[in-house]
Amino acid sequence: MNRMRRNIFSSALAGLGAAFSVRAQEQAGAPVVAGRTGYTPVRTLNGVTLPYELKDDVKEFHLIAGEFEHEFAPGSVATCWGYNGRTPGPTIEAVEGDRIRILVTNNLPEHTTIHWHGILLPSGMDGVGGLNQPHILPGETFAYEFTLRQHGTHMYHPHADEMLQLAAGMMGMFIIHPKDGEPKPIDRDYVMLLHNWAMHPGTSRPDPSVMQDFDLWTINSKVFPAIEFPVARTGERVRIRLGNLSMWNHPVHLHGHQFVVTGSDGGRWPETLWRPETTEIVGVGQTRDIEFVAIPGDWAMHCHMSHHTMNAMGHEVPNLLGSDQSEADKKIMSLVPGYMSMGAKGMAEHQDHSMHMPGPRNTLPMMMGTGPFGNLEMGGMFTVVKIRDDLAPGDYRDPGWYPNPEGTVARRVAGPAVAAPAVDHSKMDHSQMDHSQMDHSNMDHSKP
Amino acid sequence: MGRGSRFKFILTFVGIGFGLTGCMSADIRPDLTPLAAAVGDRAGGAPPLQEALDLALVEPLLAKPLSMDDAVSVAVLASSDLRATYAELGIAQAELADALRLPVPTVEAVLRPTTHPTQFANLEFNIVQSIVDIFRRSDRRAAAEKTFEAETLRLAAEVVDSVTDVRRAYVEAVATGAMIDARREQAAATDAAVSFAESLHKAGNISDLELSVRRADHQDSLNAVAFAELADADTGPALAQIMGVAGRVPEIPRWLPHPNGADPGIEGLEAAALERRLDVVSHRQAVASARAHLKEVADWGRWPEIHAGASAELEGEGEWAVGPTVGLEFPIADQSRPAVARAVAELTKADHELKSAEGAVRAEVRTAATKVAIARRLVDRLRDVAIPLKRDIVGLTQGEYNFMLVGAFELLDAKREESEAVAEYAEALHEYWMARIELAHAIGGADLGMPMDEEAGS
Repeated sequence: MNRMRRNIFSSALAGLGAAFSVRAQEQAGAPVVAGRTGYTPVRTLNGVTLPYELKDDVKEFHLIAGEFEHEFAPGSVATCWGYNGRTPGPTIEAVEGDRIRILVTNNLPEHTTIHWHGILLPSGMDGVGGLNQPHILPGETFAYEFTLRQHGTHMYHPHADEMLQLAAGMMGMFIIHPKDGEPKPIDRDYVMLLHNWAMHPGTSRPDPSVMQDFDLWTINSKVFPAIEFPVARTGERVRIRLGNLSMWNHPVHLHGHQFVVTGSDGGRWPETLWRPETTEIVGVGQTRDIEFVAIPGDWAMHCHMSHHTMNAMGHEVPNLLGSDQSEADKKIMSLVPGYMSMGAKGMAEHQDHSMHMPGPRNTLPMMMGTGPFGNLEMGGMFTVVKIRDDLAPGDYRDPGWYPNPEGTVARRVAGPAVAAPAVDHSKMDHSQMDHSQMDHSNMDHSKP
Repeated sequence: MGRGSRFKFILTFVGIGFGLTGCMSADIRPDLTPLAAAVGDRAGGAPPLQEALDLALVEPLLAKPLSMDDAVSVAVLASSDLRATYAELGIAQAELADALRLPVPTVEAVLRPTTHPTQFANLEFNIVQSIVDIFRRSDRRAAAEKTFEAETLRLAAEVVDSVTDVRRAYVEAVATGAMIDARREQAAATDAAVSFAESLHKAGNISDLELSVRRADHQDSLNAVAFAELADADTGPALAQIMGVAGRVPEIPRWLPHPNGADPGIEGLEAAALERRLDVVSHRQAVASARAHLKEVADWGRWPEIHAGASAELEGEGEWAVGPTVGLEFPIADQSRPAVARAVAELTKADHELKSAEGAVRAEVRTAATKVAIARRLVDRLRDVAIPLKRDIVGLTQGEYNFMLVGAFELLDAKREESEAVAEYAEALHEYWMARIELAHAIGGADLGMPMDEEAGS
């Protein structure tokens, strides 16, 4: 079945669904097909698509703003604000030409609104509290209703107490598929919303007053390795829709591919405007669509601001590189049993270190994640695009690590066969460690 | 009377006089029993004062780590000041004995030249005894005993004061030693920070300024150690001196203990103090003494002095004329009035001094009890809240250090803050035990109940 035929089949299914006014399943990755014209539903990594009810040819969605507990990765849970109990809120997915009604119920302690970012609509539906509409007070439900007159990758977020409510996690993606289908059909369509969080170490609620020094950098409000891996079958056309509601720009880099930048909240651009890249800056408040034909392998994809691919690190930590701390070690260890110097040879040892040494409550180590060859020493806005020859269409399950063909892995040609351990554990005073607070999930027990 | 009879008469006459004098001799060693009774339990765990002259008891006490009670015991045994006090008791006892001796008759011998051809001179012997003195003797005895009691109380108060001084010196010595330890731990933290800074500086990672700041910080800590050592320098010798073992270096604990149990409440303390305070008791005795003196003066002041005695005179013919004599003061003016007025004034003065002393004691007790309560809250809060919090902060900072959220400087700063809290605790224990000593003194001396089997700061 070629891609076009698959879309026609999808369209038929969508019509069937509409006829019975079936509420779409709020399930990540479910092969939901809806709308007037066939399209490949987006998959919101770690998220869901918002279901709707068709009422008199109007697609009616319901967002409920409220507070809930959100996990950035095992070991870090925060009290966040968002929609329908999650951040980012469910992805709204519709088709150009649809008449939509979005009910917004406010279960927050303060008023809110929703701004439909980048969407062409009547002024009174634009969602700027006090300008376009009265605020939605706690307990109230407002209806936004308009006809979608465009397609593209869009976002939604509050325009009331915006800095706080965005900092607390209130955001979502709004995907409008073209009514006439895609000239170049998409096999897998991923949604990634980029954000930053002032989740200070040891705390459990984002700090809304921070403007620059953020602690966590997330894709769909998750940090690596908790971000669901995007997967694809070799040769499939993959689109990744990137939105940025953080306060920093993010140069997103995909390894192993030359992708083409094909669209934004201005819709899918004419092909003449497409441009090949390997890194695309997604500016604050912008969206970007990148497309590529999948090449087998495990390919890193991440923001290229290197501190955005790690979790919190103290800005005042002195530069330790090249220092001989042996004398200070003895003195400090006599005062603080369990102390261990680090950083003299580099910071890579930190990942091993953090597995053994307890950190602050509810705080993720700076570096996390292990792969088939060892520590990845990453965090934040980092994930791996996993592409396999044998992945079935519609299968979004993690296929595991890539089995590199013989002779295609960089090999050691000189030097010791076994690298010296990054951390000399013999110097550590394990009696002072509280193992009950450690996250052992990232430990690679295969290593000696 | 023949020659031999005359000689016997003279011998008998003189012998009676010296015999009566010999009856009044006193023991020259001080008897500490009345002093011990007056001190009672006011010296805490000190040995009985009856043993106070036995210096052999000192060495065993100095051979082990010295508790506060041990220090008091050593002082009771060896302190020169206290031994002077014991000697003063001997003086008081002698004065009492002097006051209690029987009225002594006056013996007179008169030799008058004569113009008699065969007799060179007239010889006359008289022995006279005041009759009034005999009748006033019981009142005078009572007054003398009251004076002795007052003197004993004064000396007992000196003993209690000395015990308080020893306690103060002991607490001072231990507290200043503890402060040195706390300051040294702070200096260890800044020393480690300097080592760390030097390693970073050598690697080119921090500036000269940052290194100098850390070095200066360490110098401040060393200065604090030196000041603590200065404060400590004279406390040990002072303790040894006040204990009467100057030149010795007694071994004392490094920390004052944390108080056990509840502190005495203010209720009933003032009444207890008024009951137990020796200075108040002494003032009370002074009032009683003045009142007795007034009674004596009032009762006997109007009586004229009456003397009775015997007279022997050698007549011109060589014969002795012997016969009784009686003398009576002729009261031309009222001799008693100034004496009674003086006695009334002395009673009034003693009464006001008693009231003043009682007021001072009440204030002293209230102040001391308030300080004890405040200091107790402080030491409890430092031990149970502040220091555990600072230790938690060190642990939490270490967690942040482990995750590279802070550096070793912050960790060492946290450790230094913990040491600062420990230093505050040492200072607070000092304040507490000083307040307890003042309170014990304010209520007339008491056992402090200082637990010496645990060291709070260890």
